[in-house]
This record gives sequence, structure tokens and C-alpha cells, in this order.
Amino acid sequence: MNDKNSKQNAHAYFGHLLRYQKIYLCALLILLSALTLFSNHLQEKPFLIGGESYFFLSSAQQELPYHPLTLLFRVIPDQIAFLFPPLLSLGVILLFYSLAGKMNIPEKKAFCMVLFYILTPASIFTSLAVSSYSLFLLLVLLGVNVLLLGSKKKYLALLPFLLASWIDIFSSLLLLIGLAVYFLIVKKSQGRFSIIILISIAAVMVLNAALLNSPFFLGPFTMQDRGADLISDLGSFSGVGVFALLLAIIGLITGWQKNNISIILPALAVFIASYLFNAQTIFFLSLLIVILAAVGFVDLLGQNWRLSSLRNAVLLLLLLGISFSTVAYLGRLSEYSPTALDQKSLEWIKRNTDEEAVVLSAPENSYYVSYFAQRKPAFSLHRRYQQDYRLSQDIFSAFYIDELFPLLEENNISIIYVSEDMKRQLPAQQEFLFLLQNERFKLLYFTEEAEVWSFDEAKQ
Amino acid sequence: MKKPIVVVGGIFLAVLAIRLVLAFAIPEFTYESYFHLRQVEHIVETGVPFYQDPLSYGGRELAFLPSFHYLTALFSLLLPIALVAKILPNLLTALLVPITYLISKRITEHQIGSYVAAFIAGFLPILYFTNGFVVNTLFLPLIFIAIYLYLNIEENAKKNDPKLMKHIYIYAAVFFLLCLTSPLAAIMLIGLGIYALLSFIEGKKIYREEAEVILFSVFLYVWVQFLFFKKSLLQEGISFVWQNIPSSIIAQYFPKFSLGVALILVSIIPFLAGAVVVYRSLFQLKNQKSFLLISLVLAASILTWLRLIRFRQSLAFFSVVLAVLFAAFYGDLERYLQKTKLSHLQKYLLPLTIFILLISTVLPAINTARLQDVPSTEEVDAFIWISENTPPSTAVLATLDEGHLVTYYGKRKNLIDDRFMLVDDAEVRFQSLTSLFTTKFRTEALELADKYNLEYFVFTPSAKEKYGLKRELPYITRRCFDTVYQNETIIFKLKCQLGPT
Repeated sequence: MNDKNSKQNAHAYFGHLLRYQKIYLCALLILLSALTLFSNHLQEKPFLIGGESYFFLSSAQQELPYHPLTLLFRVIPDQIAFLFPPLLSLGVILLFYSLAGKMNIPEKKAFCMVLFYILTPASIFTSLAVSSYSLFLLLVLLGVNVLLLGSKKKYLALLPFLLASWIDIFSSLLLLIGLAVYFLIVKKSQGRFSIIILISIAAVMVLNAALLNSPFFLGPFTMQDRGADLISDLGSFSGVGVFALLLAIIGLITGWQKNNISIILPALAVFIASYLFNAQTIFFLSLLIVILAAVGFVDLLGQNWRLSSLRNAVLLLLLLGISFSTVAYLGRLSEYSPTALDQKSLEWIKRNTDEEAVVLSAPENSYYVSYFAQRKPAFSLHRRYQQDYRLSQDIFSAFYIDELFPLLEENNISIIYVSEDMKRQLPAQQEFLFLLQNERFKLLYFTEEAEVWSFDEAKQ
Repeated sequence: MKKPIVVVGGIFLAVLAIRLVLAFAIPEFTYESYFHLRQVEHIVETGVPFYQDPLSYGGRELAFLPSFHYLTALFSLLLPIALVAKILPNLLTALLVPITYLISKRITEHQIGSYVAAFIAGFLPILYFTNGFVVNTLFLPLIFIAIYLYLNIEENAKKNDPKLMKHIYIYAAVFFLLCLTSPLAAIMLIGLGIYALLSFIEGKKIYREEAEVILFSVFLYVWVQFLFFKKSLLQEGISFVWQNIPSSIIAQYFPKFSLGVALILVSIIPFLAGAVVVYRSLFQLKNQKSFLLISLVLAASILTWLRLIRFRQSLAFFSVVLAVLFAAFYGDLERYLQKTKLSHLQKYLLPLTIFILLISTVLPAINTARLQDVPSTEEVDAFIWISENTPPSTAVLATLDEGHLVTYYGKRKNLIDDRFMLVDDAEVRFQSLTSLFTTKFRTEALELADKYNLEYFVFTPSAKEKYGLKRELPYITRRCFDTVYQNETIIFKLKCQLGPT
């Protein structure tokens, strides 16, 4: 009797949770973002994190004049720019719910998808950092929502779709293929509307590539480690947790059994290939993994288990695993750059060095150098990743000044910013940090663990 | 025929007695045992293991699974630790005798063959490191109990037996303990994965209960490892699985497969019999009952090939599986003999088998125990001297193997030991250690001693042998070093340091 009562109570709570999921999950998202922002505030860190955020903030005045985010940051003051990513994530969730209603996605599945999305490191990261792919997702969701309205209102979908295709060539290609599959294979319609939309997006893509010189992928903004970037539990600051990945494998098997593999497999192949090519697109792969994990979880929940106690244990382990991954990730986020020390040192460079100076620092710091120090960084990962990767390896692992000096001179480097992270990662007794003892380097500024050095020209 | 409990109990007691005699004949433990002894002592004193070790590497964080240490600590409440550390590992290893019997019986249903398998498991040379107080001694019985319970679950599921739930609960408890004992529990999971695949290929039905148990095991394992090794995972990424072992000694930890060594440590008869059974099970008989064991062997082989398991650990697991498979071989041989004109000789099969096994298994086992790599009593005395005659904050130079002797007996900081995980500069420290034992230059030695605050240098006969030194360390001079302890082992005290240049 008691057992029956407790089961009924559990069902009642779960039913309530499902009914008001939109409110609860949005509150959860706001809570997670607020906690991280508060932690940043306590540490006196800048609110926005990640290279991509500062790339857009600094390029609002300098480059990419026609990118939607650049245009947006010309309007939004920098002081409140940190509100943009969480609002974007909130918008994504609300638009997803609207779409789930139109597409009759079951409540349970929608709940799991949004819950896993919120708890996934890739999503947590994008709710604290400006991400063009997060904006792309919002615009696509908005477009699809309007598209499904029917009648003449569907023509309004053209606007978000065109904006979404403006992000980079890869996203416009993705959108074009997605819509082509929807119109030609799912809806089997070759009406005027579908042709207009497809041609418009294709035109924007061509325009973007030919006239505006838009890159195929916008990024990467950090050094890539494809082995570890996908799994946040292996130390990366994006991707998904181990448990989500395991659940996604179950979701994949379930999808296979339900003959959904013709949809899942091509999407998986495209996103894995793009991830291997450029780790910046991990957002899309993470999104697919989250969807598959939700499918896997709902399937596990719905299966008729012979051993119900094992089912409860498995579900408990899964929820604990996913929550632990998230908590561990949130704990680590406070270490993510830029730190208060980075900001302080780079602002010192801005005030005290020549405006034409080229600043050398770890490649990931380049965008902070651009924004806070307003100096030209030595590296520009999003433009020439391979070349800069090799150059940074050569510079930071040079054993002798004969190897190091020509590299610094060739790249006109005059200021060196050694961050806390660099001091932790680079060996102190050899290579770059050791070579700083040479007389051509002068320590200009130091605070706690960060240092600013100048590199003097050779005496003739 | 005598009751199984008498026969198996007899073999178990004989094995235990022999193991204990061998263990007590050598007073000390294998080198790595001292790490675990120190953890147990700390648990007895404080209730928790040393996860923040102030002595190892001069102070560092440790990550390991603690169930073996808690189990020993529990027994240490009743008996002295030194006694428990000798008895418990041997008792646990001897438990492989009844476990092997049960698994063999379940798979072959052949009584005599299962007795022979139990006998082999009791005398496998690879398991005769009787003075090793190591986690593997708990891991091996636990994994084979888990395998036995899994086989029962499979059988119960097939017959819709009401005992199923009981077996599942016991399996869950054992597997949980296994996950808390060693990360090598992954062998079981990978083995179950391969088993599912093999069964699918051979068209064997996987019962829903089996699939549910496998799923539960996977998530439980990942969760437990995640809890205990979270920091190592974040710090070392995927290379966490290689335990941060310095590249210069990785070949020593994961040597290439050597058939000769394998044949000696596993024993030639079970090895050859196992090969025959695996071949016949997979390609001739399609014997589904052996699939699980074969899958586990494959899993262990894959992990060894990927250098994820140390060669000896893999061989130990492999050898017990071979012992089980020997039961099947014995049964097949008996049936084959019955069909031939030599059937009247069948009564000699058991005595002959036992005789061959005595020669090929028992003698190498005793030899393995005799030749264990343990410190001598004299060496141990030197480390005890350190604890009594040096300041508590001192750091002591000793070889990699002796690192735990410095912390356990000497109660002083060491330069390095074999727990590399979570150590940032393990590679550099290992190079420094090698330099300190091989350099001819005093300046280099003094610079390194200064870097790691080393004040006392222990030079044991084992160190002399390891580094191929004919006399003492070449840079030792009276001007810079005092000989503060002199026996076969010599301890030097550093008294000078590098001045400013």
C-alpha cells in the first residue's frame, strides 16, 4: 500500500515537473548562468569568457563589418554584452519548446532534451560566451517556427534564415542542405516558396564567400585537441560529459532499431567530419549527442525492464553522473580565461606600450590582447590556424636564442605577455621561459603570476 | 567419489598452508606493498586513506581506489597489521581455488575436470608472489566471483528461476566492490561487450536480464571511476589510462609480449590446453558456455596490447581463465579416451595429470615465491635507522622501487616512487633520479639535491645492482658527504651545497 502511494506521489511530482517544465528549466538555465556570473564577479573576472566573445567585441570596430554579431555589438554597449549569451540560450530553449509543440514531440522527450542541453558543457559555455553557432541555432529555430505557421506568414521565415546563413559558409551550407531535405524529401514540395527560400540562401552564401570573403568555418579561437575536446570530463571546456556520450550510444542503437538511422547517420557523419576538420563546430556535434542522449534516456525510462530495481539504479546513476559532470564543469569554469590578472596586465599594456606594438602571448590569449590591450596579437588562430600553431610551437619550445630571436624578429614582436597559465604550462628551467633571462628581454611589469616583457631590437 | 566440499576444501587448505609457509619464510614484502601498508595504517589511525600524502614526492595528491585498504584495516582491528598483510592476500588468492571449481563446474559440468582446474588455480606460478600485499590479490577473486554470478544470472534467466533476483543483488554488490577495488574491472565490461558481440554473431540469444545487468555494470563502473579519478582525468586527459608513467620506464611496466615468460608464469600445460579449448570452442563446437571466458581473455589481451594493463596483471587473469578452460580440456580428453582402444587406461588419466601438473606448475610456483623481489632485512634496517636518526622534514634519495621504503620505514620524504598519477613532473624527477645514481659530476648531483632538498642518500646493494655500480656513487667525497650509516647499505649525509656562481 505504502509502495503504491509512494509510486503515485512520484508520478504526481513528475507529472507536475513535466507540465511546468518550461518554467523550471528556464529557471535552471538562469540559475546556472547567474551562479557563474556571480562567481566571476567575486573573482573580479570579466563576465564574458572565451576567445570568440572578445573576437566579436574587438572586431565590432575593426573587421567583419557585415557579420550579424559584429553589427549587433556595435549597438550593444560592452558593459552589458555579458547578458547577450544567456539571453540567447534562453531564446533557444523557448523557441525549441514552441517547435516541440508544433512537431508533437512528446513532453518527456522534450524535457530530457532541454534538461541535457542545459546541463551539457557545450551549452553552459555558450550561455557565458558569445557564440556565433548559438546565434545560428536561435535564428534557425526561429525560422522553422515561422515556417511551420503556414499561410503567408511563412514568408517571414526568410529573414531569420538569411541572417543565419550569414554566419559563415559552413552554417549556410548546413541550413541549405537541411531545408532542401525538408522541402524535397520530407514535404515533397517544390512550390514557389521553397524555391525562393533555397535560392535566397544559396545567393547569400555565394555573396558571402565571393564578395565578403567570409571563411568556411569562423574559428577556431583556441588551440584544438580533437582527442579531448569532445569530452569535457577529459579536461576540455566544451563538448559533452561521459554519461551523455554513453546515453547517446544507447540513443543511436535505439534509433537504429526504430529505423531512424537514415536521418541520424548522415547528420552524425557530417558533424563528426566537420568536428575533425575544425573543432569550433563541436557545438553542432554536442547538440546531436544531447538529442541522442535524450532519446536514449527516454528509451531506457520507457523500456519494460524485467528487473525494475536495476532500472531505478541505472537511472539514478545516470542522473548522478550527468549532474556530477555539470557540477565539476561549473567548478572549473572559474579558471577559464580571461582572468582578472589577464585583464589587469593587458590594460597595463594598453596604457604603457607603443600602439604599433605586436604582442606575443599564448595563442588563446590573442583575442584578449586585441580587446583589452588594443594591440595587434602575434597569432590569429581563426585566420591561419595551422601556420600560427606551428609558429607558437616553434617559439615556445625553442631551446636556444638562435632559434627564438629570428622568429620574434620576423613577426615584429616587441611585447611579450606571460600569463599565469603559460607559467604553469611552460617549463621554467628550459625553452621559452628560461630564454627570457637573455639581456634582450626586459621585464616591464609583473603582478602576482603574470609578467609583461619587452623584446628589444638587436644592436647593429 | 568424495564430496566436492572435501576435495575442494582440501586443495584450498593445502594451497593456503603452502602459501603461508612461503610468505612467512621471507620476512619482508615486495616493494610496492609498502605503499598499501602505509595506507592501511593511516586508515586504522584516522579512518581515511592518505589522499594528501606529505611524504611521497615531497608531498603530493594521490588517487586510488580504497576498498582493499579498508578491508585490510578491518582485519587489522583484530590482528597486527604485519600479520594481516601476510595472511589476507594469501587467503584471498587461495580463494581462487573454490571459485575456479565453481566456474568450471558451471561451464563443463565435469566433476573431476573441475577439481583439476581448482588444483591448477591453486598452483599457478604467476600467483605465487606470496609476499605481495597488493590490490590484485583482492581484485582476482572478486572478478571471478562476479563472472560466476553472471553465469548464474544467465542460467537463471534461461530457466526463469526465482533465484535470479538473489543472484543479481549479490552480483551488484560484488561488482560494486570490484569497481571500488581496481580500474581493471574494465576487463569484465569489455569482456561482456565482446561476449554480446560473439553471441550476436553466433545467433545466441542474449536474455533481457543479461542486457540489463551489463548496462547497470557499465554505468556503475563509469560512475565510480569518475568519482575517484575525476581530477586525474581532468589533469591528464585521455593519457590518464597510462597512469602518467614516465616514458623512459613505460617499457618496463608494459613489456612486449614474451611467449617464453608467459609459458613459465602461466605454466605450459594449462597454456596449451587452453589454446586447444579456445580453438575448439570457437571454430568446431561453437560452445556457447565458453564464450564468456573467451571474451574475457580477448578483453584482457586487447587491453594488454594497448598497454592499458601491466603484463603480469594480465597474465594473472589469463592464467586463472586457462585453469577453468583446462576443466573443459580434461573432460574432452576423457571422452576421447573412452572412444579409443586405450579406454582401459582411463583410470591413469587423473594421476598422470596430477603428476604432470606437480612438475610443471607446483615447482615453478615455489620457485617464483623463492625469487620474489623484496628488500633484504639489512636494507630495511637502514631505512628504519633513517626514521630514528634524521630530522622529520628531511628528503631522502633512494631508487624508484625503494621510494615506498623511504616513506614507510624511514617516515621521510622521497624523491620519487611508483605512484605517478597526478604528479606533474614525474618524467623530470625520474630523469633526475637516474642522473643522481649515474652522474660522475658532483656539481650536477649537488644541483639536483638542492632542487629537491635531498639531504640523505641511501645506497643499497639493490641500487648498486640496478645501476651497475661497482663501488659507491662516483661523486661521493668526504668533503661533501658524511657516511652516517655503514653496513651493506650505506647512507650519506650531504653537507655542502653549490655556491653562487
